[in-house]
Amino acid sequence: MDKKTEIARAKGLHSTKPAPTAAAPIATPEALTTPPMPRAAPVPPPAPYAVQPPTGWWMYHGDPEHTGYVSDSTLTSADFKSGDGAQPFTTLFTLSLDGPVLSVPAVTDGFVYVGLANSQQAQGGNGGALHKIDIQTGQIVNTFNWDLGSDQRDAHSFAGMGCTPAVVNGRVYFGAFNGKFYCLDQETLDLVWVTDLRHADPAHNQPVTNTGGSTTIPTPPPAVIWSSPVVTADGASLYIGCGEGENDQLFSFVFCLDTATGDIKWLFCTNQFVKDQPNQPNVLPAAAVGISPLPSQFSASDIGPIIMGCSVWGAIAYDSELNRIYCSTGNQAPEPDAPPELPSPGYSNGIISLDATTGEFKAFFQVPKESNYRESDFDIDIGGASVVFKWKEGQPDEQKAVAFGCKNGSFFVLDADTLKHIVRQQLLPYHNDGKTWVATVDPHPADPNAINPSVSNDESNSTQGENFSGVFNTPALYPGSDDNPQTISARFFVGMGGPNYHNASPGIDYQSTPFMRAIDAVTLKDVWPMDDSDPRRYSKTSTFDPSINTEVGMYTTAGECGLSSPAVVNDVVFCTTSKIAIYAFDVRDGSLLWYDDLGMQTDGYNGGYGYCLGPAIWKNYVVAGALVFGREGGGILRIYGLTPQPSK
Amino acid sequence: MAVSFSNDIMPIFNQFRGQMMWRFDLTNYEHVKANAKTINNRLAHADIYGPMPPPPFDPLTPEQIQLFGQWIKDGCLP
Repeated sequence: MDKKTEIARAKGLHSTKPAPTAAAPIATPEALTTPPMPRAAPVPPPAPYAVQPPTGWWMYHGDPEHTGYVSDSTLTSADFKSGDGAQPFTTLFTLSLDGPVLSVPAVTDGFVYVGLANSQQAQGGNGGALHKIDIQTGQIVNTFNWDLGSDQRDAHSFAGMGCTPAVVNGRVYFGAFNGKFYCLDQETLDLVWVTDLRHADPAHNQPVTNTGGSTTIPTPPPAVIWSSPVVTADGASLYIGCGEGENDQLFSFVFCLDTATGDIKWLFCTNQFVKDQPNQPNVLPAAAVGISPLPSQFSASDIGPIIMGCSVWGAIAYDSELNRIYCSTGNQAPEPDAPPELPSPGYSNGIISLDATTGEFKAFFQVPKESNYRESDFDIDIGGASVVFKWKEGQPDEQKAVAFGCKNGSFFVLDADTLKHIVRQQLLPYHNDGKTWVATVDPHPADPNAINPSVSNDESNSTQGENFSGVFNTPALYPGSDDNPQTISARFFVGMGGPNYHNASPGIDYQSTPFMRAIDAVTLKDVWPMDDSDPRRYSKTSTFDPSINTEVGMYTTAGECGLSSPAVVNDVVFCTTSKIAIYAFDVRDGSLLWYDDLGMQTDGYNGGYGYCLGPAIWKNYVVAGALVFGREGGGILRIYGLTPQPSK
Repeated sequence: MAVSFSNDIMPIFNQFRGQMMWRFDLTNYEHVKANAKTINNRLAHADIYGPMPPPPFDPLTPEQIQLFGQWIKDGCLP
């Protein structure tokens, strides 16, 4: 059995019980309006389990392990090559949306589920929407909307949603920037239940009120949900993070919810109460207690916490074999006034492992100082999710592991049980002596408002600054294959670079840094062929496009970042960028197979960039949404696929 | 004469409309009224948030910022 089949079979583990025979009662959206949140409808029956596992991109990064690998598709590199010059793979639909897309859509069962980070249709432009789109017609068939006040948006002024929904068992699950977690009916997008994770919600056994206001920020951001939900193998539980790392008066939590009712099963505060002493599940800071009396399942701590921040921004990964979840954490708050950032207190800048059933603390790993590209890097963050996989699969020393990238530029593989370090690789380039920084990589200008800063290594190394060139996303795993013309080793694809929407973060140094790295899953060394330049660059990842008389691909567009998470389908890896563009490369050697510009040169801040997040893949369809500065509505969604064949 | 959105505010904001469409429509009265406090806060705290609008645009002049504040004081007239 080849490795692709093994992964497909592993996904089949989600099928355990019969399908439903009766639909659960559906609540109405009016239940959204009156806090405290009442239960929206009579308690629905427990969620039935699926007969067949969902297909395609049914949750963040395609599966609970977040591999980003799709095997139920026939799409291969051959579909991007044609003897007659015609491109079989093409744009099928372009949708102009009434708001930006700041999340990877979910795509399953023939429909796209995509949220808007802001909705122009909301009252006063403050609110969000989730669209259900027929992938074969490009038509919006259902929409779920929510309004909220202008004071409830997130730190970046978003009022909608920024996560990938989980679509399973006839339900659509997602969290929003209003701190609420929603469950909708998959068919109609009618509300089934909603649980408030920002304010105590007694009807759902939710005891936390997390509304502290910063003393240093005039408009302190409230607790929000950026994290994408992950659902357990039996479909009974889901996990979500809620917090806000930029407000030093807010706490951060991981919640386990009952998928049928929205009730809290357990919670874990990621702000450590006592140094060197693990937090216990269901213990919350006394300042965050929002109901009285506190249900017996929970208790309050008057001690600590020792540090704020430590918010879980990214999706939580789940491993059914070890029954663990893996939660990426952000920076401490407040940040230190001077370097070094690391080691930082508490559960900041690392990965926490918890028991999936009880929330019991299992292990924590914090990225070490020596893993920074520059020692002066701060606001480190693990922005993306971990990928659960088998390191050295098939070899005698095979072990279950988690892999993730960090904003400091390093990529890590840890033992999944202990979170002990296995291997690390800095993905930002050094000169070919292997130790000298590239001055234009991760620059830290003394003037924080410098536009397109280019400063010396000495200045960068002595000036504390955020690393906008590191890893902000979740890697995608190609599991390896021996059924191709040539054996292809297992490898990770990792986007490089972060936001470049303002003058302080002008994007990666495009002439030295690829917007996506291809690294061996065991050694973490580059696997695509490289040239002899200094620093070395991938040699096949760009090509001349005669239609526009221009070189396209990596190393061609100033500041172009791989902010989003790559996705792999068979022998093709897709990557979206801040250009805004989407690319397809051959997993073997990085040959550029295809690309499309979604919003190039839109005259936005700093040269016309935005975000494109995704793509998501279902069968032979590829979907990507974007936030586009300067575009009417601010958002766009494209559905790609094979050119429809004329009927005979 | 009282400050009005159509005569005094929208002409200032119109040039930035495209760049702000990801958030809301700066030429839409209801959108600007609903977010007036937020906008005013950003304009008044350039020391914390940076100049508004950010580069490559020139920031609003003190007179324009004062005019926006006056529009709020006058009751956000259409």
